[in-house]
Amino acid sequence: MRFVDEFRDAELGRVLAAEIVSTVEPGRHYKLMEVCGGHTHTIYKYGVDDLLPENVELVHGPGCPVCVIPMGRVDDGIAVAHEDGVVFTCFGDMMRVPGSRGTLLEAKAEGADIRMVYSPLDALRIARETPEREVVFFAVGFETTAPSTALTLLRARAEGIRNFTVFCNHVTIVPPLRALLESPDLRLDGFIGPGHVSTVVGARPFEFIPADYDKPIVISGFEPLDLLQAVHMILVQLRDGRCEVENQYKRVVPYDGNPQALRVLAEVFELRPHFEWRGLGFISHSGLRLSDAFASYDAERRFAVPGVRVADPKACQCGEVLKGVIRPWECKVFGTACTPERPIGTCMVSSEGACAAYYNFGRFAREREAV
Amino acid sequence: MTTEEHALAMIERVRAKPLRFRDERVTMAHGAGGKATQALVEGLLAPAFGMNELADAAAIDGLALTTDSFVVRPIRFPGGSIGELAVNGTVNDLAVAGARPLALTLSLVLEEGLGAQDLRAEVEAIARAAESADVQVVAGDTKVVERGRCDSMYICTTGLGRVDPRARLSPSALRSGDRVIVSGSVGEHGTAIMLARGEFELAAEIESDTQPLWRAVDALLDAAGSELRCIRDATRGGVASVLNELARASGVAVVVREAAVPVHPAVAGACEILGIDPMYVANEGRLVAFVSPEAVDDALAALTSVPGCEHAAEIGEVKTEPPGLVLVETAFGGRRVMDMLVGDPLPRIC
Amino acid sequence: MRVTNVEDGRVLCADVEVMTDLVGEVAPGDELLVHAGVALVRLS
Repeated sequence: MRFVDEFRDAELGRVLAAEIVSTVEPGRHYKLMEVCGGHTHTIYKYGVDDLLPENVELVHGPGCPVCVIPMGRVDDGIAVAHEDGVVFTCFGDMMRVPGSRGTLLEAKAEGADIRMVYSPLDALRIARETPEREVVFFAVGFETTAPSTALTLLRARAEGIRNFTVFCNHVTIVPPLRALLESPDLRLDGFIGPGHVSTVVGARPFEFIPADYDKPIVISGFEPLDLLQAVHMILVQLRDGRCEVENQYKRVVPYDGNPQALRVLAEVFELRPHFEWRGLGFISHSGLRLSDAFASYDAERRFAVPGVRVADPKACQCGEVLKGVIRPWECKVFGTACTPERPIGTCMVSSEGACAAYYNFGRFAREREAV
Repeated sequence: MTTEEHALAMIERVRAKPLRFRDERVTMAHGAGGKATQALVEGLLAPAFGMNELADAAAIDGLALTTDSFVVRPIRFPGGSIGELAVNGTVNDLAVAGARPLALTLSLVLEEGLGAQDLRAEVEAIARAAESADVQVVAGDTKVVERGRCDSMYICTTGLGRVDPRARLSPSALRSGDRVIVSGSVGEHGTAIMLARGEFELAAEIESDTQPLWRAVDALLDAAGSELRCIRDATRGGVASVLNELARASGVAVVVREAAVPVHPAVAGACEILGIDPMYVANEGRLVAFVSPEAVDDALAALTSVPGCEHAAEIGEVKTEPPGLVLVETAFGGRRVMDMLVGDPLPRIC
Repeated sequence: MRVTNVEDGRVLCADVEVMTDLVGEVAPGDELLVHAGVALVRLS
């Protein structure tokens, strides 16, 4: 089924794997964190870590923006979805995220008009085509997806569309990384930098990681070979005693990001003073909301949103998983009370969540040799 | 035992338990052919009716009996229509149970306002499909519901067949070393439907693969006889769901070689954009067969000479460990689990 | 994704509309990195 490329990749993969083995200091254990849902997905889909020696451990950080949405915000979304005349739109992954009294999928079964879309443009089209309905878009994502929401809002304003609002849960990548690095229970040797977020923000915002915390970071693409190469580059830095930002994904990521995208974000959004991240608590200046100029497109201003803060269930250890402190199977409820079909926490819901990825793909991975 | 091994053992204990139906409401997930459907069937329906073995068709006194309903939307799509599906779907349930299809009953639920032209077109499609599948429509029923109460039409067909004396098919026949064959490229029907719905504004040349499979089963029985262990048709939930059901039912492991699975490039491309794995996408004219290693070459040779099955391929093998699971060897050299679907295939974000 | 046509100021990649405000002028045949309906990078 798959193409000639994949076999050539497997060859190159083995070559890189051998180079990694020769770069690793025998007996030393390395913990490298990736912070991008797409990377989590590639690693598990292709079984990339099967090719690494046992002493190089890949850990999954808070790179899945669905996974960090607190239950209270899901409840808020469901409340809006139940309002008269509302068509509530969201990405597929959001449909099964548990709030305190059920998911959006269940709310849909109860009669709320909730529809899955692939981009906010789809939601805007629904608004254009059904002017008598109030269309709300549940916006999630890092700086990768925020430009899409921003451009859609600019279009909505230009077209004078009035029946469209955004329930904004966009978050930014740098604050949680800083919060992670400040955390006492974390021991990491280096970072695999997010591939798509950096097309917007560039590599420059990650300079604080080597500068302030002495950890190397290599931005990586999404092919399994990209990830292997990025791992190798981090290990080489560690071996040579260097500590800097490197860009393995140069073919796509410009060092300074996309200035036009950043301008558009600055026009449409502003930073909330603080925002709650599931499992990580409140992080200041980490969440986006619509700026005053776009107040009339803000679902939180058009609708009465309960805004109740809901604590995670006691059994849930998503926070520790998100910080890479524990592996998915070390969570007390992993696979028993918390499964993909009955998830307690978000790490198990999103296909890019560490727990879902491990449960759905990563169990029974190959045996690996230690160096 | 390491913590990881312990956790995995706990998971398998939980998974080995019969599924219970604990939902408060029916959701779309219950219709997707994955875990929720399985929970509904194993947890509510089977116990209520005292059904022990859940197969595509029931064998009674040398005859096979099966039923299926069709609620596809839109009713016409590239490569076929609801009428054609209604015949082929039921014929195929009989075929993979090793039964030559004899007769079908046909129940129509029609929406008030359905145009006569559309109705005629479907009736003709049913007649043509029945002829092509060498089966007779012998009885039926028609109901009409108010506008808006069904999408143009829903169809239910019940099929009667005669179990072929050569067939010794059962999930319990699976043995370590058996090979897995698929009769053609995967993921076409579901992808064609998703694109035909126009929700995704994507266009590609993908047609439904709906076709009757008795000739394919006949060829396999001829070539492999009792070395043919078990056959399933891979409908809702795709090839992945069928493999999982069998692995679970027979307590074996199935290892799939990803590179060997035939997928049309257009389907692979569309699924990539939609963020869905073609292994989980519905087919309507593909079977999955388990054959002994001694008979697999003959079986494949026989299958590829049946029209419509030219791209049949061997895609994997049965092993003993880990029991009840399906594993994929990726083309890259890694490995992953291919679990049952949860709900409907939902695409990734970010 | 690959640009298939540009008409009335709308950019289409195989019938999917893509916003290209962030990558400037595009022409059919250009390869774009697209995310949630927005082209973030021009690849070709």
